[in-house]
Amino acid sequence: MILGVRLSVAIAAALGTLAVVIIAVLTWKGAPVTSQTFLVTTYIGLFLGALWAMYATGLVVVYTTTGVFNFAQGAIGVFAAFLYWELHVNRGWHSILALFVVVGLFAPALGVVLDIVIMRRLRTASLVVQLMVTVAIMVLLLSVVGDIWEADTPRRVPYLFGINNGIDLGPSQLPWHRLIVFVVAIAIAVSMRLLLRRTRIGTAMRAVVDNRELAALNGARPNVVSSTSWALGSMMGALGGILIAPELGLDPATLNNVVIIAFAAAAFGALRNLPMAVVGAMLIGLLRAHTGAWLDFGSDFRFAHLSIAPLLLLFVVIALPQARLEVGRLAHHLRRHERYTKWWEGLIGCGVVILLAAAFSGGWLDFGVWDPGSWGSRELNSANEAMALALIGLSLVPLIGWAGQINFAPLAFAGFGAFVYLKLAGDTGNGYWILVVGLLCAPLGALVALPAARLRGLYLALMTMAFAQAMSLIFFPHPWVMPIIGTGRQFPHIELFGVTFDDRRGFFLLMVSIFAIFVYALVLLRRSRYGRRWMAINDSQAAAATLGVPVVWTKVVVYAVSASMAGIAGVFWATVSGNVDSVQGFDLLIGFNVVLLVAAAGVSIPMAGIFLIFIPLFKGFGLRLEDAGNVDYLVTLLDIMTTYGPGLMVLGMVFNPRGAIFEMGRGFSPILPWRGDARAEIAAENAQKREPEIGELGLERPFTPEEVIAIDRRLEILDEVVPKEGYGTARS
Amino acid sequence: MALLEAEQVVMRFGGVVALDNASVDIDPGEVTGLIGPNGAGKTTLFNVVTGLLPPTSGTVRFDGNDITRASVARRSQMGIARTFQKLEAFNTLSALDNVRVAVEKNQRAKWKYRRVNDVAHEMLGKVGLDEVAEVTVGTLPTGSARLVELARALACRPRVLLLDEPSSGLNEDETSAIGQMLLELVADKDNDLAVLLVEHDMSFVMGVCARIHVLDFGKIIAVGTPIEVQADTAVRAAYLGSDEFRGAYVGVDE
Amino acid sequence: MAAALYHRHADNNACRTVEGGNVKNLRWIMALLAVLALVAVACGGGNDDDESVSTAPTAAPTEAPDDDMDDMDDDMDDMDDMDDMDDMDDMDDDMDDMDDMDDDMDDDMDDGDTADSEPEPVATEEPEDDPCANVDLEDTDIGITSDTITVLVMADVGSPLAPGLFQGSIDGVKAWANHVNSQGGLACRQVEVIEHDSAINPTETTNGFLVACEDAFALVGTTALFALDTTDLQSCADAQGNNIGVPDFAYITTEPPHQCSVVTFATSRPNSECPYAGTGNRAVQSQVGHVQWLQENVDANLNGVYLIPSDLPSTIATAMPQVRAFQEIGVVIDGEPGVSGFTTQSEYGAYIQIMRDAESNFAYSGSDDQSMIKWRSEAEAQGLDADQVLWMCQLACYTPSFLEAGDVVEDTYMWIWFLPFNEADTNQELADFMEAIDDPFPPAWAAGAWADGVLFEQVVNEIVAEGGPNAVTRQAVLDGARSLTSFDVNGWWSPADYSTTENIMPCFMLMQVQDNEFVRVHPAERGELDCNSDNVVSLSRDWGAEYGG
Repeated sequence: MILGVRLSVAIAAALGTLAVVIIAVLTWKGAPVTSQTFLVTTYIGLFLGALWAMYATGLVVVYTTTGVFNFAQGAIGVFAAFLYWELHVNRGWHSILALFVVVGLFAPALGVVLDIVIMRRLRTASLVVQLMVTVAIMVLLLSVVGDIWEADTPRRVPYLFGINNGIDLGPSQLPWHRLIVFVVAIAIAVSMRLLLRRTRIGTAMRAVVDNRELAALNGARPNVVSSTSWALGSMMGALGGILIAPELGLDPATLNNVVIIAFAAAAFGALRNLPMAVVGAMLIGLLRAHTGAWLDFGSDFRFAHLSIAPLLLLFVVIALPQARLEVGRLAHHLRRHERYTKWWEGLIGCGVVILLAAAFSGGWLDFGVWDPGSWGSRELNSANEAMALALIGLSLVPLIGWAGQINFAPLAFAGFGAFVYLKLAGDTGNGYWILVVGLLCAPLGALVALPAARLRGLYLALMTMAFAQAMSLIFFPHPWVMPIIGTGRQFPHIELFGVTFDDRRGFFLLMVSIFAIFVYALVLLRRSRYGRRWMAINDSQAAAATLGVPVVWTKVVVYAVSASMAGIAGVFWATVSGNVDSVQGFDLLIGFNVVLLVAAAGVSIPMAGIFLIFIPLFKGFGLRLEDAGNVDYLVTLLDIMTTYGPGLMVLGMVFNPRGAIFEMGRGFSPILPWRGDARAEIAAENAQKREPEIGELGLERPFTPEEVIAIDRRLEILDEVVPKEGYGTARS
Repeated sequence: MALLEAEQVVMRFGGVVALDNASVDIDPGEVTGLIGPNGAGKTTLFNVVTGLLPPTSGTVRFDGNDITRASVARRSQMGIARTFQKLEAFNTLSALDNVRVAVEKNQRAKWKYRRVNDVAHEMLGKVGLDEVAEVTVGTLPTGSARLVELARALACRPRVLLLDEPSSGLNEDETSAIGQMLLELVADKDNDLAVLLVEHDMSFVMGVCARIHVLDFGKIIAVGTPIEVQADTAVRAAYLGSDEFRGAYVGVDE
Repeated sequence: MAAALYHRHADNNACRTVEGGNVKNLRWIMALLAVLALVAVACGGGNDDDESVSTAPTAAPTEAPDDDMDDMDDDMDDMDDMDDMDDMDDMDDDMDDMDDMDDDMDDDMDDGDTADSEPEPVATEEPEDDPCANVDLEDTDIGITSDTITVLVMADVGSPLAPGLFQGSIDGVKAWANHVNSQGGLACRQVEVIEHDSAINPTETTNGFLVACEDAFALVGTTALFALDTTDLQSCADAQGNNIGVPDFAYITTEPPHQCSVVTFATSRPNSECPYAGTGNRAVQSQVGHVQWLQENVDANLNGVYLIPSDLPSTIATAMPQVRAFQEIGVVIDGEPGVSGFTTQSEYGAYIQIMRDAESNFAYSGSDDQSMIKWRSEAEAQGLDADQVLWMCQLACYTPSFLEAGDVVEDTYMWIWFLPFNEADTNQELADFMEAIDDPFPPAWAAGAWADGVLFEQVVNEIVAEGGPNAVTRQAVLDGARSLTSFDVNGWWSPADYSTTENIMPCFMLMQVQDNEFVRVHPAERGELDCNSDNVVSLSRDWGAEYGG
């Protein structure tokens, strides 16, 4: 095993070094190599690395101590930077006072509130829920920032310490600001390391993540510990945000983007190793700075230097040792019946979908007030876009809904599908090539999943994120991939069965039909052994493996299926707009939102996938509503809901991890006359008694032997305690 | 030669030694017991044997082949099945589907022409859960979920069955039914089955096991028939050495 | 996460942060899901026909506060004080050129007609020769009724991460509409304005074209970065069912399909050849008069770094021609690095090193104000002697926030193609704009949108003068605009030729930041633009391939 680890690290390091050398040789700018330039570039790299290290430190501390990987770390920094600007620049407070208020008061308070209101409840939640909720917090925080500080004017945060004086380096100089930031970042990392490794509270903090009940018995107070972690993590995010803002300018998205570099740095330290995370951040900083100084990527690869972080993440993932299959992380007490959608239910459902969509878009039904029947080209245009997104969203149903694997790159797969189609069908619009697109996208999905499938789910999530970013920075902007055109459509109207779908209504109905086929295929797939197997690895990979299910391979297959669906959907996505913006068209952020949408809805049962059809229908509906004019209060309400709704919906998963649609379905199904099972389930649930929580067993006082046995039973740790040393030494 | 052998297995987690040169061997046609105080390393040994944990050193042999580096799924296909101390049932699947996943992955020649469903129902029937076949396992009581795991393991047509505290969560009648079933399974020559049983219920262990291994602090301190083991001074010391209530809980007859 | 892009359209000046606008669509969707119940409850009343959210045409523009006027006076004083640095001979030459140009402009205006730089004559003419008298006004085309002309202003405003981005364009068009209505309206009708938020999103942009096609007579003040597909714009059917397109009086045209749309007339000229296939050579005109002036008056031997905004092909394609044009007139380019919105200030250190190595005395940013601030701040942090360098920027730096950076941007030159906002006393159109917009330093796109309004107004007025108020149709407007060879926003802007997309606006004025204010440098005379014919360089290259990185 040790050999295996070393081998994979060596391979990844060799590949990485080789890549760097080849790229450097190919793109060497030919600028004069002077010691002066080298020195300045190096300190710039280290300074940037220090800034990213600060974010990464916060991530690692929170992850090590709470087990939650905080996607909102960057957004906390954004909020803090804007607040600092408000206090210091806008209201003229002294910088030290403003800094103290933001980093010393606001940030820890935010961390504690997040912990108490949300994070504590995520302790036993699935990875999907944990990640989605932090992503939702990210989106919400950024929305709040956008609402409070409108983007109508650029803002600048001044440097905290002097930037114009510093240590003399020949003709150049090293400003005090950068030196201080570097020292502070290192000091924070070192002190966090000491805190975690050398102090009682640190030991307790680390112990809590492994087994919080056990640690509780040992005297640690898990809630205090997790609040402390979140407060510390939040403070580091805030400080990082305030220090990096002068470098980038105060722009929410740009600032938030920094966090991806921090992810790569944290991954470099295997998410838990603080010193290595700092090294990772420095490495990225140095690579970025030296790339800028010596290399020249040309317009085709103009974002190459920005993709250093995602590429590093990729190499790290290759280098990481195989993860153990985790046992004992099962969420209990799900309280629901499993039931296959009957084949005829699927047929009826799909039929209803097509009819409904046709009725809506075609004007065959009169719905009265907003008259959705009279969809104009604008409604159809929006509905088409939403419909294509719904198709892409559907590709996540087997992946996220069933196999519990996260994929932040559905848009990247979709974009790849569009690219393949463009190359195959050219300007003929021949729709039969779409089938080939589906075949060609599957291996890509497998390829992306392969390195990370043997690791924990979080790495797969990070890996797909890195993939999405690398694609949108390197692949799609290349003019050969998505050629820029001067006029007309890049993606011609699709031609199928001798019909050219060049009017919006026809194209809408075509997509609806594809959607119905997808849904029905999913219904059948869910009933198959593959569907079962995917759900099985979601519930317990260890158990699935002991039954002979090859876990890694199964994950790879489900990714391939999902990528194939996404690729096909991508053809429609690109054809809707006709011309795809190569830079933004397949952006990670849109991908995030598709994923959020699917996760929030909780699409784990295939028929729930049908709900996605309502997206385009309501999109058209909503536009009519907006135009109606005399319902201002609704429009205002919609505005608010538009900004905060998605995030709040996902936050709902904290309390209801199976998602909104699922719950709606549960409420709805007992009405169906043939669903006696659903009625029985509700009745049984009402009768079920709640089991006592661990806190109710009385941890604050000395307990009797009987209570200890009860605790043991409750915690199922009977085999994990060394009796003679008393409680607290975990063995496995 | 034993069907399954774990030889000189050492498992270290950082500074903690969970298994210290532990050796266990099991033979077909009988139930072998593995007992020991909490934290003795029983579950760790299970994890090493099934491949969930790579041992620090030592060898695991199955049917004469060294399978120490074989993957979990590979071992399963060779015929090693297990249940878990902490439940690892597929909670979102029905009881029947839980078993079906196993059946589909382990269709041996004998079952080739039989429908997966029939086999799955048969396995559920064996553990007495046919009535709740369509119920989601997450909603079943813990004891029943354990039985689902057992049925699932049986559906793999194992040659070695590792059971980690199957009786926990079951009442006395159910426990003795399980015991009876195990004895029948190993007695059936067609099955050619070996069972390794970790259990805290001493009367259960003593009742069904032909041989018992006693594990303490990662070391095998005794091997023998139930009578021999109960008489062993080291075993008595190990159990008595623990806290008084723990001894009572484990239920060793003084 | 390439969502946050900086579109720095070098010459076309839309230079602000751009976020992933598609996010908004999804939010919409989810919001709709969430309020489904409310929608159902609200099924009570309402009418789906009325799509327009019109501004009240009666609202009179408010007076600019006195304080603002005082500020302007101060600025004017500063202007008078300057000009101790120039070679007077050259100045005189330029002045002569200017005079010639003025004559030209006057001619143009005479050729033109009722749209005059002075509003008074219009008012006085009306009673004598009122085209509206004794005419039965008709619904002559889509969006035009007997008493209203509906125009649609589309701008990127509503990205959730960057709300309010181009709000200025909407404000500009509304201000123009109010002004026109208060002067008696357009073609004897009142102007109504529909707003559409293109949300930095291709689909919403297309939607804007569709709404305009159905509900508006023309688009005015279009400020949308993602007009990737203009098929719907160009093929829209008029009232007769002819697919002639909707007239689109845009401020910026960043993407080739929009630049080359046959119904689009952009007041910030694309100055690029059309039609254009998207790849291969393209003829582009560039303004170099400002650098020529520096060569003649400050330092004859310029060598330095040009910063290319490299986030989008279109930003590169607008910056590269200018770099090559500078080389064409003898500027030595030491480096042309690309800069992205994600470039940190310290990474500008690499550009400083280039300048140090090459002993550059010239630094030109094709990017935006924030980028220039970062560049200059980093130069200071690295201890580069800023006084040895001529720092230069373009319209993108003509913002209040550029001045807010303080001492660090002192002495930066920048050039624009219209009279600056503090010279309202020299031009009536500018004065009207400043009064209507009610902002002492409005964003450039407010001015651009206003200019669009004036362009539309002039074309319509010409039609009315020739054929009466019932001759105003989309076809007539398109014809009128296409034949417009010189339009200068009534003397406020450089004149421009709308019959071709290739020609650049020939005039410019140069400013410099002095004592934290924008101070006119050239031409010295207030109210003047430099329109020397040597100002323009025309080159044809494959601009994407020109860029090195």
